[in-house]
Amino acid sequence: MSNRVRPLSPHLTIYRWPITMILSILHRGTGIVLTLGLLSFSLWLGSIALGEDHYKKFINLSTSWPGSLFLLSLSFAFFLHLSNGIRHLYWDTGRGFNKDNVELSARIVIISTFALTCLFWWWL
Amino acid sequence: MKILSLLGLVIKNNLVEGASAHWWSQRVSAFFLAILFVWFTFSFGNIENYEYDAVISWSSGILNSVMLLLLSIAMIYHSSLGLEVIIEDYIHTRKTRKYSLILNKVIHLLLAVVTIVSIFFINTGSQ
Repeated sequence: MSNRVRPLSPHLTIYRWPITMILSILHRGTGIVLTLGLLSFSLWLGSIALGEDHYKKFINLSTSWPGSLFLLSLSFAFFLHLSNGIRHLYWDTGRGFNKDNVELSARIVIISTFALTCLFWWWL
Repeated sequence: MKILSLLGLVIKNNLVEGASAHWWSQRVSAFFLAILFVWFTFSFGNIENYEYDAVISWSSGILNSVMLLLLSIAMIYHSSLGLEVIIEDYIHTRKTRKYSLILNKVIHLLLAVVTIVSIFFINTGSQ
C-alpha cells in the first residue's frame, strides 16, 4: 500500500517535548494500560465467583512483587488518566485553551497524579 | 447552559450518529466512571480485611452488586471506545484496522460476559 511510505502526523521525532505533548501521549498510553487493569479487574471478580481457592490464588499473585509493581503502576496510570480526563472535560466546556492555562493545568495534573496515588495507598 | 444548548444542536441536526455519538458516549461514560470510582475506593477501601469471607459479604450485597455491575459496564464501554480511537488513529492498513476493530469488540464483549456472570454468581451465592 502506498500510504505506508508517506510520513504520518504526529511527527514525534522532530519536536522538542513540551509537558502538554507528554501528557497527551500519556493519556493514550495510560488508557491502554488501564485496559489491562480492566482485564485484571474481571479476573478478580471471576476469582471471587469461583470460590475461595481461586480468590487466594489471585491474592497471592497480586501481592507477589511483580503483582504489586503492576498494581502500583496501574494506580498511577489510573490517577493520571483520571486527572487528565477531568482536564479534558474542562476543555470540552470550551474553557482553558490559552497557552498559559494549558501549561498550568498540565502541572496541576502531574501534581495531582502523584498526590492521589500516595493518598490512595495510604487509605487502603 | 452552554452544554445544554450544544446538546440541543446535536439532537436537532441529527448528529448523534457516528462520530459525535462516539464523542458524547466517551464523555458521559468518563463522567460516570469518575463518580463510580469514588464509590469503589471508599466502599471497598472501608472493609475490615481482604479475606475471602469479608470480600464476598461486601460484594454479594444487592447495592454493591448493582454498583459493581454499573462500574463494570461503564469501564468496559469506555475502554472499548478508547481503544477504538487508538486503533483508528494508528493502524493505517485497511484490513488490519478492520480486524483489529472486530477483535477489540470481541474482547470487550468477553470481558462483559465474564464480569456480569461473575457478579451474578457472587450475588446469588452459587459457585
